[in-house]
Amino acid sequence: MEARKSKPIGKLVAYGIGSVGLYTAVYLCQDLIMDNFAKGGLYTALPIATVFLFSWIHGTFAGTLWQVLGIDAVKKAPAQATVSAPARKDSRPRATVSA
Amino acid sequence: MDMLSEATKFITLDPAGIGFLFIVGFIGGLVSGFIGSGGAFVLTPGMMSLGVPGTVAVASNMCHKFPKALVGSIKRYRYGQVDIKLGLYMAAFAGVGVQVGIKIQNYILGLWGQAGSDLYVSVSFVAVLVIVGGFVMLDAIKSSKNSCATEQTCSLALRLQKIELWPMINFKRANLRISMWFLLPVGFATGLLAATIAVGGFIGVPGMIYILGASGLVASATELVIAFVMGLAGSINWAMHGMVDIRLTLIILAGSLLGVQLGAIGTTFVREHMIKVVMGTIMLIVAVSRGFAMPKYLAKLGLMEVSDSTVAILEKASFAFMVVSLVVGAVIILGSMVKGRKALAPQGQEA
Repeated sequence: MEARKSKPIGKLVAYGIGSVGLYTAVYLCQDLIMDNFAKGGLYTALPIATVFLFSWIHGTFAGTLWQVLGIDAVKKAPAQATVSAPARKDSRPRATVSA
Repeated sequence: MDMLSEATKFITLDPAGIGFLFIVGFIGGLVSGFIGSGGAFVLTPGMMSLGVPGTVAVASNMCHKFPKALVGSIKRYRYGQVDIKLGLYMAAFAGVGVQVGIKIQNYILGLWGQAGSDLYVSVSFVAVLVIVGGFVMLDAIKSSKNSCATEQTCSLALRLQKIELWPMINFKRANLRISMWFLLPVGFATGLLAATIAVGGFIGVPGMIYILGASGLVASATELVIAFVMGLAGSINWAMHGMVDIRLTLIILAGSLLGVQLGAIGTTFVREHMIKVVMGTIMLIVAVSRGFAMPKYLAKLGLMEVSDSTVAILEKASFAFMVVSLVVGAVIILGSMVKGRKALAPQGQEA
């Protein structure tokens, strides 16, 4: 059976390399990272920026991986399934012009 | 700030420890991508069992939560399930709840010490999980018997939506209009619970479903926005004190970013009541887990006599039940995804 649409193998490989690169960098520079990331104060930006970077690179890799494996959303979810209360009639007195 | 560097000296990140954090991260991500919360409650005690000090475990856990919630909410936003406005309102009120929750914790700590504080956390945990989890589970069973495809809005929510109490707020994506005075306590309780048991979603999601009238899909997806905002604020707070061990955070993140996206995809495969089934099941099993932890605190307060060996066994049983709750949740999610795929397969072949 042929695939319905082409799978983003290139994207998977690119972000996969990026993800592995980031994790290798953290592993190799463990001491430097541990010395600086937990200093607090202005250094707070370091761990926060790091997790944002990882969530972009590794997150894109993870999403693409499921896509390549053929596991993707099957339908647009019916988000508007709730029944809201019927609109109430405005019973406030109104000024009317009787001419 | 020296605490972390001291602490890291005795954290051994061996392959078994890394593997454990990765797998729990993945399963926790899968569950939170699906029901909007959960998973993190196993990671803190899990990390502590690897020798990580409590505060570092909590901080590192929280620091993985917000990027996971961000990725999950982006994914579910694409499926049209996230109401950002509702999430931001809830997060703002939850922020107030967190501050009050911390004040209550400190008051109890000052009054009864650590054991009293632990007991308060465990009692709140069990009470919320049994009452709310039981209610969610009953509703899930009722919904599964219901033949209609779409979820029914709870009559309480419908009644509250009819009350025109200024200011009224419109939520387009969630398709509801409700007074801020009903939104506020739900958000506040979410924050209060997050500050007490670290899983605010156990109140936030049912609150959005049964009190505000959002669907299970929208509530669970919107919870990810709340988790992101609160997680980011909490992580900055912990990181300011130098408590985040970025290596631990990144290992958990490696697994959870895979899991959270799979969980988000899963919501498009299954019938809507499945979110309630998974949430109710996890909450009830975790309640049992916390029940096992209670004798230890009662003994410390002198309210009960328990031997050390019994406490050790109960602690192990408590942790095992927490892991079981996640695994059962993951099995239900994956099982219903496979079932959903099979049900759709004939249509796909015909097309």
